[in-house]
Amino acid sequence: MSSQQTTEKPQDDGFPRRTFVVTGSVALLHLVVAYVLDAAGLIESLLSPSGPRLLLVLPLAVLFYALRLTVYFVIPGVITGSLLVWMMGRVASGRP
Amino acid sequence: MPSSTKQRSLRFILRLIAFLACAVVFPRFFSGHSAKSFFQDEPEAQRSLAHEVRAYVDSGVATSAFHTGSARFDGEWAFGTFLMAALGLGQVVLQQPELASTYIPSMEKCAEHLTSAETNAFGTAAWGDFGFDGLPAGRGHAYLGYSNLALSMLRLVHPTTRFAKIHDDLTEGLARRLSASPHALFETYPGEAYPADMSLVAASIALHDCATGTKPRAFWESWKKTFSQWIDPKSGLVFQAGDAQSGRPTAPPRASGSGLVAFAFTFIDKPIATRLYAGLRDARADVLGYGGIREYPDNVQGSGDIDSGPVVLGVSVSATGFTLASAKLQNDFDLFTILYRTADFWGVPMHRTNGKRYLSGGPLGNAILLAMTTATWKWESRCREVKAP
Repeated sequence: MSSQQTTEKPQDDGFPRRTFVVTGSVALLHLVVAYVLDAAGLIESLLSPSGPRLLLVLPLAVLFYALRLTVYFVIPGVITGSLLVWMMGRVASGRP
Repeated sequence: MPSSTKQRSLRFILRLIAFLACAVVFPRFFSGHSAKSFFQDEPEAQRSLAHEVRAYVDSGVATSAFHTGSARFDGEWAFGTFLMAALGLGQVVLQQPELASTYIPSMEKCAEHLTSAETNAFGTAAWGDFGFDGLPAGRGHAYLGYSNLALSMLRLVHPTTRFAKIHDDLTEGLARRLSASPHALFETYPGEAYPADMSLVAASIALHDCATGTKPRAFWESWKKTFSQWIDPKSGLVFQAGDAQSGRPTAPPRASGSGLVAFAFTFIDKPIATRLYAGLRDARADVLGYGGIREYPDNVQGSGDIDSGPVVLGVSVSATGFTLASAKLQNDFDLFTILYRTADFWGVPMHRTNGKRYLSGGPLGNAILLAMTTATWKWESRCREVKAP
């Protein structure tokens, strides 16, 4: 076997793996932050006069809702769009 | 156009269409799939939330749990938690009688807190006297309508409750004050009267009379007619505050108070409840399947307060939550669903070992959601026959 053959990379089928990894990570982070806020007591912290606790919980709450908006309103469209583009590419190239 | 540019444009358009289509379809599904369970009173849906609310009550939600910056509001929030918890748990018992022995003790804990000096400290501070002293004589203290509604629900599902005597005395006291009010209002705090509080007073009396078989009171027809003056004819919403002596509104009509009034009137007078619901429905605002109720009518500006909770783009947290009950009772699945989606998205239901609670609800928010999503007409079938004189 020649060295050229052994160093050739397998053909990229264009499947949006990175998209799934990123969106999956965002969805997982959303879940994790939700449970952290639940354990910390989101409302109790917001109503509590304790400064340090509020400094931790408030930014986490803002992050959480940003993640939630992303998971609900952005991720489904990103995944669907990526899959549609991938399928379009396969059809165009004649692959099943 | 070169084919690579054409392909890039095509990919972009495809992604954009997919993004927009998914933004319309998926979120409403994620947030709304539980709406039907609550609307159709599915036992498991009710039980999972009731379990968590019961846990809050049994752990002792005290005035010290709230720090709004005002002792009065702290007291009111603890007060509201116990009322809504009792109401919600009672409504679950009405629909799942086998849970009576599980939830009635927690309802009695609510009653204990609602009649205690500690929980009523905010009212005592305002009036200079404890609202439960000297009953059925007394004046003002209209906030006791909330306690009495909880007691009435308890009495309905547990007629031999140890709170029967205090319930009868409080009901009689409130009924005397109501019948003596020239403009259908009496004061919650000195110089402050609120139609919403009055509707809870009236609802508590109506439900007491249903639970005990008391004959209809003579003042009802004239009171209902006079109370109708507090409904703004233009918007269909109820004026938030009024002067009990002159009968004039002292605040604009608002949806947060109206939501409570519409719910309360389901215990008093169905046609008026339906009329009030129409006003709330007209205040609906929705986008992408998520909806809320606008706090202020079109011709009124405002930024909300402790009664409305946050008002975002004109939509009020309280009005949205309270209207869930009316939408359910008026059999409006469409409005119930769009309001529930909003509550689900921002409330964030968390599934726990034995139940479910809403992350951003806290004790009060979860109790309100329980009471509003379990609202039922089943109390009517529990009314005792009117006793012969």
